[in-house]
Amino acid sequence: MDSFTTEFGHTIPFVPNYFERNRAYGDVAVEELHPGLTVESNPLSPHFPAKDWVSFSAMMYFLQRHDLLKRWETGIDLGGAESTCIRLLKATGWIKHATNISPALSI
Amino acid sequence: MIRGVEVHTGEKAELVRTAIHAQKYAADHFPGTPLLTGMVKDFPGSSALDANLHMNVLDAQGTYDFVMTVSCLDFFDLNEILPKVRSLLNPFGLFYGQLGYWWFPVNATGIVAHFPYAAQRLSLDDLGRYCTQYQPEFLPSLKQRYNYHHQGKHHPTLTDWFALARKHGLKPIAFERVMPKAHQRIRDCPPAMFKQPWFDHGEVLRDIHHLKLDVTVEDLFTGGFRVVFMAA
Repeated sequence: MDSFTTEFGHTIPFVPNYFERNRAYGDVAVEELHPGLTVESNPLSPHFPAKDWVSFSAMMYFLQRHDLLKRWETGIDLGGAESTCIRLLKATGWIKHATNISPALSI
Repeated sequence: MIRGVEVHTGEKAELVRTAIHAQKYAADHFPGTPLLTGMVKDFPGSSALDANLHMNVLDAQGTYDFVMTVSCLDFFDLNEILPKVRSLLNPFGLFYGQLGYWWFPVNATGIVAHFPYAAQRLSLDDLGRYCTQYQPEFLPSLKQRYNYHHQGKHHPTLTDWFALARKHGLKPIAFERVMPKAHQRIRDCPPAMFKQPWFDHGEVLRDIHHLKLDVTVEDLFTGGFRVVFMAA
């Protein structure tokens, strides 16, 4: 069996088929693993990304669980892409004023 | 309780499709997290942005009560972005982050080898030797991939995140590790991987501890985390 020896002298045996089993997943976007999901420009259409829906849900329940959910005047999403989360936060009434910074030009 | 909103009947079919994908994603990535079902349209308030800025996050100005980010801080040196987050917060304002984690078996670098936790247990020099021998096609992009997280300057554990936040005027007041049972990047991930006869987390930590001593078994399970910092 092949192995790799680290600079610290430890030998790591290769796991049969580990690379082959996991390599294909290396660069796959979430949407590619969920065929049929479409991403449209209007983030509040029924097509808005499932991932953003989940992220928003996870955030809201997290804040609620920790008793940190309250109504804010102003909010900003750093790197919000389609700005789904900050828009949802405003649309559901938790913030009054929503600002987004698009990541396209921020990295 | 958080309020959901009714869904129009005409859009139900497409909503169901989206919801199924969202539930699958939630089950894989955030086990135990229910979805805010029905939150699709007809919200009580407008969803219009007051400002949509196209600029470097580090150049952002102004102050806010709530600053949030999802999977964005990976790109930044934490000693630059955390002071920026602090400067954007009003007194007692909150920062919420859903953040990636270096110590998951295949992290956002996408580095995969013939054994798990390759990026974590090998130094960059060792990864170079490994790629030269087994995956020469990865060599040109290896350094860029390896330095993807925080520009290669940090591989922080949660303890490091807390220390850096406090150093930059942010009080950590809540956190949760996200320990997914399945992940879009890999097939073999914890906890199922820990049952395999070929896996020994002790050997993984043995190698990692040569590079960073305070990494724990909890870190090996952690695909990401959620955190709230309060402006100190």
